[in-house]
Amino acid sequence: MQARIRSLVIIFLIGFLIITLNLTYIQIFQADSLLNNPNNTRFLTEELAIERGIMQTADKVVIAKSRIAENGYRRYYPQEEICAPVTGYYDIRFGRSGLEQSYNSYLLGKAKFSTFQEYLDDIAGRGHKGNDLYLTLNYKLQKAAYRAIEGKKGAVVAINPKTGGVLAIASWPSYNPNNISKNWNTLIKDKGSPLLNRALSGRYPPGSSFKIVSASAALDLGLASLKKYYPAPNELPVYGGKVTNYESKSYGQVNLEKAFTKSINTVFGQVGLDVGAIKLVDYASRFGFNREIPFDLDMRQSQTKQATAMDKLEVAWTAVGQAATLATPFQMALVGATIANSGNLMKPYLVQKIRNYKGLRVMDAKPQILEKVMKKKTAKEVKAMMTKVVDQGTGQAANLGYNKVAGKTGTAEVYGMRPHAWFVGFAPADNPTIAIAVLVENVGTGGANAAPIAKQILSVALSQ
Amino acid sequence: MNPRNSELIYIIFAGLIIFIGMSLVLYATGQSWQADTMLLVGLLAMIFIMANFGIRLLCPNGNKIIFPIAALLCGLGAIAIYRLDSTTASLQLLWIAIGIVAMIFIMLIFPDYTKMRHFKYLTGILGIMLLFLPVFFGVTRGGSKLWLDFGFFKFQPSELAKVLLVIFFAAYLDEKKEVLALKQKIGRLTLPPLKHLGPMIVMWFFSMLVLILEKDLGSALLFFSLFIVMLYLATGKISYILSGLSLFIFGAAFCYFAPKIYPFFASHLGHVRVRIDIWLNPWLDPKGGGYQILQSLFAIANGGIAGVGFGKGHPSFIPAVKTDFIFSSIAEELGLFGAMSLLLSYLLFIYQGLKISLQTNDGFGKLIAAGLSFIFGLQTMLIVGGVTKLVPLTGVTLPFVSYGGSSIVANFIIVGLLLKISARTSQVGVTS
Repeated sequence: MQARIRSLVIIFLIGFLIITLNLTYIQIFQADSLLNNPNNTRFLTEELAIERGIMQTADKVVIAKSRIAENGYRRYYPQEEICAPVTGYYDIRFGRSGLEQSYNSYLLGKAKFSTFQEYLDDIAGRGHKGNDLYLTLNYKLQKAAYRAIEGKKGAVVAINPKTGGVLAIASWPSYNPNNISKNWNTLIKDKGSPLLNRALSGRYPPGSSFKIVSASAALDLGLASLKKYYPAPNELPVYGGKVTNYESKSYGQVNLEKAFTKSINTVFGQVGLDVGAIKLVDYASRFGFNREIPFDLDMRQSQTKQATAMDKLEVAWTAVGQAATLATPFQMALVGATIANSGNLMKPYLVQKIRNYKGLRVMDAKPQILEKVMKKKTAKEVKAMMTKVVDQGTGQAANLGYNKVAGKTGTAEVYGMRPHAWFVGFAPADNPTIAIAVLVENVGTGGANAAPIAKQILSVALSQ
Repeated sequence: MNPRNSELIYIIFAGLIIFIGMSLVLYATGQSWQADTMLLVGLLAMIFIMANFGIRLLCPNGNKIIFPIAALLCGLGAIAIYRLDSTTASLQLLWIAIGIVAMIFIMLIFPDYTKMRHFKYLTGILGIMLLFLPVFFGVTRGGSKLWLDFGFFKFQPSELAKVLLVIFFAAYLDEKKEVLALKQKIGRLTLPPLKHLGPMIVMWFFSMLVLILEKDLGSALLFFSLFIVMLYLATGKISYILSGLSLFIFGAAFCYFAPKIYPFFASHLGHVRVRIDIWLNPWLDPKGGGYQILQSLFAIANGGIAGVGFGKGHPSFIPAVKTDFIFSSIAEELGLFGAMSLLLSYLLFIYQGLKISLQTNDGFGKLIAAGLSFIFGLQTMLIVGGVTKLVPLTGVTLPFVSYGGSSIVANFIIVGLLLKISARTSQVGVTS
C-alpha cells in the first residue's frame, strides 16, 4: 500500500502544479485581455468618480457627456437612439460598447497625460476630468441618415472619401443608451437585435454592388474596357451550373459600360472568369475584404471565399456579388470611397482629435492612405460607369441632377426571403465629398429601396 | 523539542500572519484597530492556543504541523470574510471554536481510534443517512438541495458524511481487501470478482442519486472518487480505477446528454448540463449564466503577480464570494504569490496527511489517513480548479477558508483523526 500512497502524493503534486500554471496564465498572460474585456465592469465604481470626457461632432453637437448624479457621474446621450452606433453605451453592470469602449482610457483621462501635474493627480488618486473626443461625425448627416433608415431594418455609412473621416454611421433598429440597464432584457430578447450595429457588424451578401470590385479588377488588369462587348444571354452556363440574370432578362450583345449600368449578371460572370479567382480575391482584399481594417470602433471582417477553394461557377457568382461573399455596410462604403478618391483607399477614422479638459492636445488624427487599390485611370473609368448608373441605369432613384451622383445598386438574393437592397455611391461625381453605402434588409431591389434613401442623405450633404 | 512546543511556535507564527493581514485590511479600508477587531483576532489566537493545550493532554505525540496549517487557513479565511462583512466573520469565529471543540471531543471519546472499527456499520449507515437527509428535509440554495435549515443556521450534512464514510470505507476495505484483490478473468479482461464489484455499483448508484435528488455535482464526484481511490489503495487493483473511471465517464455523459433526449431528466440533471456549458463557454452569456465565473476570472486577473493588496480588491462583484469563490478574492488581493502560498499550505497539509498514512502500520489507520487526505485534497482542487475555470464549477467549499459551519467542523474532525493516527504511530515507534 505504501507505493500506492506515495503515488497519491505525486498525483496531488501534479494536480497542484497544473492549478498553479493555470493561475499563472490567468494572472500574468491573460490578465490584460480579461481586464479590458467590455464585460469587466469591476473598475466602473472607481470610474464613476471621474468626469468622463465629452464626445462632440464636427458640427459642434455634443453627443455624449457626463452629468453629476448620486454616486459620482452618470453618462448622458442627448440624441438618444440616433448616435448609439457611434457612442455605444456605458453602464455599471452591462459594460460598455462603441467609442465608450474603444476610447475608454482616453475618456477617463488615463491613456496619455498632457501635463506632469495630471500624471501626479492620477497616481495620487485625485479626481480629474477625462479627455474630450472630437469626431469627424457630422451630426446633421447622422440625423438625416438615421431618419432615412428609421423603420426599415438596415444601415447607412457615410465617409469623406478624401480623408477617410467617417461622417455618419446609422443603424436601425437602434436603442437608447440612456436607458440601457432598464431595458437590457427587452433589448437582448428583441428579434430585431437593436444592440447589433448593422453598419459595422452586420454582414450581408453584397449583391451587384460588388460589381464595382469586379469591374475595377478587370479594368485595372487590362482584361476589359468600357467598350468591350460581351454576349448577355438570360443565363450563362458555367461548369456544371449557370449564372442567371435578375428576372431572367436577356440583353443580346452589350458592352461593359451597359452591362454595369443595367447590372447584367451573365456579363459579370464572364468578367469574373476572365479575371480568375486569385486576382478577384486579391482586388477584393485590396478594398478591405478578408482582413482587419484598423478603425476606432469594433467591426466584423468582410470576406470572400478563399480563391483556392472556389470552382469556376463560384468565381462567376462571386464576380456577380453572390456566392459566399459577405460584406458589412461599412466595407461597401469604403469601396465607394476608394473609387471616389481616385483608387486610393484612405484609412477610415472617427476621432479627429482628443483634447484634455483644459483644451491641451492629447492626440490628432492625420489622413493616411491605407491601400492604393487601383490605377487612377481605372478609378476614373469605374466612376464614369457609376455616374451612368445613376443618370440612366438602375440607380436613377438617387439622381440629384445630371452628373451629380455616382453609384451602384445591389439586390442581394437571400434564399427564401426578399432580397437585401444596396446602394453604394458618392457625390458630387466630379469632386466627391461624400461616399455612402445604404443597406436595407429583405425589402426588394436596391434601385427601388436603397437608392432613394441615399438620395435623401446625399441631398443634405450637398446642401451644406 | 516537544512536538507540542513546536506546534505552539507554529501557531504563534500563524497568529502573526493573521495579525499583519488584519492590520493591512484595516489600513486599506481606512479603519484602525478597534475593540471588535482586536476581540476577533484575540479570540482566534486564544482558541488556537487553547487547542494546543487540549492536544497536549489528549494526543501529545501527534503530528505538529497540520493543526497550525489549519489555524493559518482559518485565520486567513476569517480576515477575508471580515473584510466583506464583519457579522459573518464573528459567526465564522464561532464555527471555528465549535470545530475545535469537535476535534477535542473526537480525541476525547476515542483515545484509541482503532475502536472506531467496531462501529463501522453504524458510521456507514449514519454517513449515508446524512448524505440523503437534505432530500427529505433540505432547503434549496443556489440550485442545490444540500442544506438543513435550523432556523438560525443552516447545516450541510454532506460535509460530515464525508468523514463518516471515510471511516466506514476504511474499516470495510481493511477487512475485505484480500478478497477484493482476487482476480477473475473474463476473456482477456481481468476483472475483480463480480460479487465484489457490487459495492462499487452501489456507490455509483448512490452518487448518481445525490446528483439527481440533491443536484449536488460536487458531493457526488467526491464520494464516488473517494470510494474508488480507497478501493485501489486497499487492493492495489488498477482494474478498480479503470472500471470506476468508465462508470464515471458513462455517468457524466449520461448527465450531459440525458436532459436533451429525455425531458424527464431535464429538471433533475439540467443543472449539470448548464454547468458544463458555462464551463465550456462562459462568454456566451456573460451577463447571465457566465456572470459568476467571469467575475471570478476578472478578479483573479486583476490580482496580477503581487495582488492589489489585502482589503483593496473588489470581491463584492463576485456572487457567493464568501463561500465558493473566496479563493478568487484572495487571488485578487494577494496576487499570484499569495494564491501560490495558499496552495502550498494546502499541499503541505495533504502531504502531512499522506505521510501520516505512510508511517502508520495499522491498515485501518492507513486507509483513514489516506482517505481523509485524499478527500481534503480533491475538494481543494475541485473548488480552486472550478473558480479558475480549469474544471466545471462544483459548489464545494474551500476547506477552512470558506464561510460555512459544517465545512469547518468536518475539517477540524479530520485534523483530530489525523492527529490521533499520527500519535499512535509515534507511540508504537517508541515502545518497539
